[in-house]
Amino acid sequence: MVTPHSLLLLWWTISISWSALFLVVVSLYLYWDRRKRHPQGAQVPSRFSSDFVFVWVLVGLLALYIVSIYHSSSPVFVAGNIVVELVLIVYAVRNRR
Amino acid sequence: MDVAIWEHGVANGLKEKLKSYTLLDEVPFDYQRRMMSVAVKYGQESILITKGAPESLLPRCKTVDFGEESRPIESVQHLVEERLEEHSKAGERILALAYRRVDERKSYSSKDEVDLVFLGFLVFADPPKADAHQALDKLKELGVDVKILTGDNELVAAKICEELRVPVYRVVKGSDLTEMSLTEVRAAAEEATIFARITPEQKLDIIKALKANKHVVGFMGDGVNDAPALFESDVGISVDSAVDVAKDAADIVLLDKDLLVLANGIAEGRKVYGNVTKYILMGTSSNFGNMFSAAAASLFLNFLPMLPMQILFMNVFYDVANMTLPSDNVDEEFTSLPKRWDIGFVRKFTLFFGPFSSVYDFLTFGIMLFIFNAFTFARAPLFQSGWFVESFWTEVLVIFVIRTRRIPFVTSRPGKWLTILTLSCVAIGTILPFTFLGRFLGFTALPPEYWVLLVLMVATYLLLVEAGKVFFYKVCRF
Repeated sequence: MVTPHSLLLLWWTISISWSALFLVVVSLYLYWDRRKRHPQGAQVPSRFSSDFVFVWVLVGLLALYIVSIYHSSSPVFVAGNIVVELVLIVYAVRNRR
Repeated sequence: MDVAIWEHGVANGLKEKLKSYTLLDEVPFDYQRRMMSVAVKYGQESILITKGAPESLLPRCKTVDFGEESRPIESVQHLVEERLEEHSKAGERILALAYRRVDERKSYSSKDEVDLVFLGFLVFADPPKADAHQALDKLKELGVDVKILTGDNELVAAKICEELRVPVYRVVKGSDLTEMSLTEVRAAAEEATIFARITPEQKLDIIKALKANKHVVGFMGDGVNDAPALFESDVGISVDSAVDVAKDAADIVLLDKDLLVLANGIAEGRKVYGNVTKYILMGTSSNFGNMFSAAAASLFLNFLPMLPMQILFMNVFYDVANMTLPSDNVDEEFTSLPKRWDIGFVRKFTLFFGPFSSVYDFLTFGIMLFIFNAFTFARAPLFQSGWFVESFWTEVLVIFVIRTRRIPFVTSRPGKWLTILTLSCVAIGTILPFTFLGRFLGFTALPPEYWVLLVLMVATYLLLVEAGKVFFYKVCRF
């Protein structure tokens, strides 16, 4: 039995969103957990915008992937990926040890 | 020291002289008295000969022999102490020797070791090897703090530290330790470099205190008195020439009396541990992700997302790629400090890095289902081929990202063989769907457009994991 296309799309959207959401929740847990592991670092102010760069990118990618898959559009997928890759390369270089 | 005494004696005709003596009894050594005695018969005379630590033996001496003349020990006290300090400061180990005439009996005890006649000192020189400080420098570089636990006095130990260029921060004597509380012992174990005149029980207490202070403790010793400490330490180290009980209690027996072997062993051990850890982290995170993806896919697909044979084939090749991990380079920051197995870290790493591959597995499902319309049973081989190649690429290539905390290839180069074998496996996994074996395994050729999307998708995945790594290690400070 073939699942109807729209239902399949819904299932797929839920699955990819749920796995991305799981990753975001784990990130938040680890972020708060660091204060337990490094009590002396509790004074350091949280910088959500810069600390969670990869989460913002992930959320952006999720939106890109859902939109491009909903429209079955390879060009949107390709263009979006290239932009995100450039952002991530700059981020990785700026954070090199 | 007994061997040195014996060899010196034999070289000076001792064996011949010993024929005139008959052994009557022996009072063995113990760490409370710090001395031992033998009672011998020489002609018609019975003599008790005692040797031991000067600090313990001298108070039991009443007189001192000067040729035929006998003087009270107090008359030479100053001279004796001066000599003692002089030899100790030179790093020489000293035994005091004394005797007394006794009645002939079957047995003798420590009670007989009184009113002795002081004969003099036995002085031993056992300088450290000229290059021993190099090994200690290397140990320091590896984050290994060296402490000296000795039965010798503090002056001898300090001289040895000076020769080995080991900075001495604090000296604690055995007599001080007995008066300390448990908390004070733990503080002393942390701060002191030299523990002098200590008993085997005190060695054990120091090892326990260091372990209680969350240190990984290695203990090196070769005597009977070292056995309890060797057993208690995390890593007991002895040498081939040690007494049997010390070798039995030790975890490692060095065949060469060279500390550099130990330093090199620690460095190599950390490298091995680093590579084992990499494999565990990669294995747990990728399996967690795959399990997640396969379970979710089974909810909305009416065919298997990947055939059992295909999964087995991928696992075999993934493990082949990992076979060269033991030869991989390990970053300096990993080997420069001691590491402990931390299951909590592995769990958090798995929870964090596992879902990355799941997101991209689901993305591949979406591409295969809605761009390449592989949602019917007839097009299942196309779906399976697409997921197989994506899963293979991401699972194998992510090794380069996860194996280091640094930027892969830019600030941390992987091992040559790991690179060659990993890329070879990726190449095999890529061409497999186009081959006869691929068709046998249920694969089908993938369209050119898929490869463009795959390259972009995998590049984004690897860069996203790299960004996640910055978050995990730098922001969350693991």
